[in-house]
Amino acid sequence: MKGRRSLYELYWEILVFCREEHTFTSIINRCDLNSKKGQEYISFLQGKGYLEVTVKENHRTYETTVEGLEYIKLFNSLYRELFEKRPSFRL
Amino acid sequence: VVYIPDGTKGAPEIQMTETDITRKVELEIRTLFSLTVVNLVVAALALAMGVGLATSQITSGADGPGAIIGVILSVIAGLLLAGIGIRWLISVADVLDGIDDVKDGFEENRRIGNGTGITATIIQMMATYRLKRPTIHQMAAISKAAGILFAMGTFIQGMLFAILIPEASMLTLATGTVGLMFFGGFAIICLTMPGRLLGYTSEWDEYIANTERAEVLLKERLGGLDLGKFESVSDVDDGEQGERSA
Repeated sequence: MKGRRSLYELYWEILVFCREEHTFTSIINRCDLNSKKGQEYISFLQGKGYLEVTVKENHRTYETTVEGLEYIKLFNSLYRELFEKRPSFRL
Repeated sequence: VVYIPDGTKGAPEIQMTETDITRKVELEIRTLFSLTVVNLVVAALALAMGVGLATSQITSGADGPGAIIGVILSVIAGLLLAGIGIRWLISVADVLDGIDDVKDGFEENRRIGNGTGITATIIQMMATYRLKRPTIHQMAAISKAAGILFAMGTFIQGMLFAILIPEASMLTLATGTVGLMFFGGFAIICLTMPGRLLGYTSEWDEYIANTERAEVLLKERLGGLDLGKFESVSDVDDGEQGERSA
């Protein structure tokens, strides 16, 4: 995704993508992050218990936890609700 | 439970369905696309008319000091208009590039259900808006400047036309009148365009301000104020592709 995203939007993107197990590389590719930023965000989400890491045959994969899914749900409802209330832009 | 933008909880309300929101998003994308295409057309015409204004007056062979001053002013106004047209086209192309990304993302995301796809599109619209906001403002300013030049062009052409009227043929009168109407019409379009563009930006600015207030809830969700170094980060520029590595 191009453009400028807030930190909370980036967390949402990472968590949504990790609803299925993914490697670090695929996360940073999908979310358009560099490896340094990607590592910081993933570590933060992992530390908060929103992402869990699994090691299989020397490969670390990340998956969103139940708490992470709750964050996604809250985020979706907030953004959706604000958009609903926003007047439609017309010419 | 409905969360009000200031972070408090309100009474349950009737909510829009997924389809309603999808339609609203689609309409918004289409409206911005249409507005940008109108800008593209007017910018291209501004460029063409600027060149036309400058060159036609050089070859008009006007006589008398009044007419010569009019020709010089027309050439200057024409060249300025052409320059503005070029700058305008570049800005429009930049915004169109962002809209294209949003449109592609929307088509991809609409296949995802559970509110996630539509949220992804809303985020993409916001991300694109944050990035293109200065360009949209630039477009509004350029449009205003073009409008002023079109208005000046209309005035100058009108004056020249008035000088030529006594000895002009019917054909000259007809083409002159049509030309004046075109210039006047474009002046009105260009002068009203900034209002539309700034109306769009003010609505998005308000939405973004509301989401920032909603972030209070997300911050609470992420562990109160214990966000450490992440707390101060509000926007992340994605121009870091080169640093990406496996």
